[in-house]
Amino acid sequence: MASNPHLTQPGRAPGGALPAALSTADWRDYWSLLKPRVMTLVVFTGACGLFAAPGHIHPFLAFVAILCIATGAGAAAAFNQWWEADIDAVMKRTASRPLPSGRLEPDQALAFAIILSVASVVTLGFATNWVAAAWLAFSIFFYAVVYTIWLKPRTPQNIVIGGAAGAFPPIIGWAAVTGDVTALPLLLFAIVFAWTPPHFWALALFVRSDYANAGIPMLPVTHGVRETRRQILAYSLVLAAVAVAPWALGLLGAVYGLSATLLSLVFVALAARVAASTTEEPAEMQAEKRLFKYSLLYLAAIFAALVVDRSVA
Amino acid sequence: MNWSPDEEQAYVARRRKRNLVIGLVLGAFACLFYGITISRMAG
Repeated sequence: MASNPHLTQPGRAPGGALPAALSTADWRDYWSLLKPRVMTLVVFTGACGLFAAPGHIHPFLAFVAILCIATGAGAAAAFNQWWEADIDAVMKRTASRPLPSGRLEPDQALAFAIILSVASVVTLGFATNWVAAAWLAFSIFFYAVVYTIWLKPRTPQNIVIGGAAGAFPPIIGWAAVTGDVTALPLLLFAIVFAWTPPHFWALALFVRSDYANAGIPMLPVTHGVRETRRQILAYSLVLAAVAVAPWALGLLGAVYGLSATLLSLVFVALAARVAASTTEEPAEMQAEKRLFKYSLLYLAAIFAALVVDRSVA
Repeated sequence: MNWSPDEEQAYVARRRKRNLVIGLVLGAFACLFYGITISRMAG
């Protein structure tokens, strides 16, 4: 405690919350509550869903829709950090976040999350339609309650459920234009859903001691490295099948089909190398690190191919 | 409260910056709704 200047400053009651009016937080702490790096992925997939949708939307309303999707995702991230402040405090990767470090009070973070949630949903509803707003509201609820509070601390399949939480933006983007949800946005949802487990488990393999210390039942901690590698390969095969499905079903053209096939083949090849690896030492997990990096490129490229395909169609 | 002058000054500066950002965000929010209204009327 003594090492944390925020917890020993004058005006704070011992062990108690600092009055909001005396908060030491500045705007950067609120900004980091939104997990801006995760937000870039959400913005990108949401924007791709919006651009791929048939129909027309005023450019300013498209901008507002993407802004609302990003804000809603940020609100969900703030809920997540509010709930997991004690877990974040014991993980190296997250210990310096505003809540565990004491720069921000839990009540402030919760109020911030609620305000952003309501503002993003209502604004999206007014700007586009209430179908998109309802999907955004459900995605915030799913991430904050179903994933963060309910399932993440209880099941080693938490990342699979988390994948669903992060897969809503393309649906919301699509619904913002069309006012409904058809097969293609559902397949886009399925791509992000199937992509998440191999992406996060590749990371979890080489930072598993962090999760073990925090008591989070991540698959590498509960079922071991070997089982995690096997599941990474299994989900990669599912991902490859789902990724080419929009083309196979005739919903997208050859540009997307060729791109998805090539990108998925490389993904599966890298996942196979992970599955064949036997090292238990995080520093030596080159195959896992390579898959993790490639998975970021993969998702960006798949969605870019989708937009290009729709543009040339 | 027993803040030193330096702590007091740093706190006031942080609060001022935070209030400025809140003001800017509220202003942007008002502009956003103005833009939404105009865009919907145009569309």
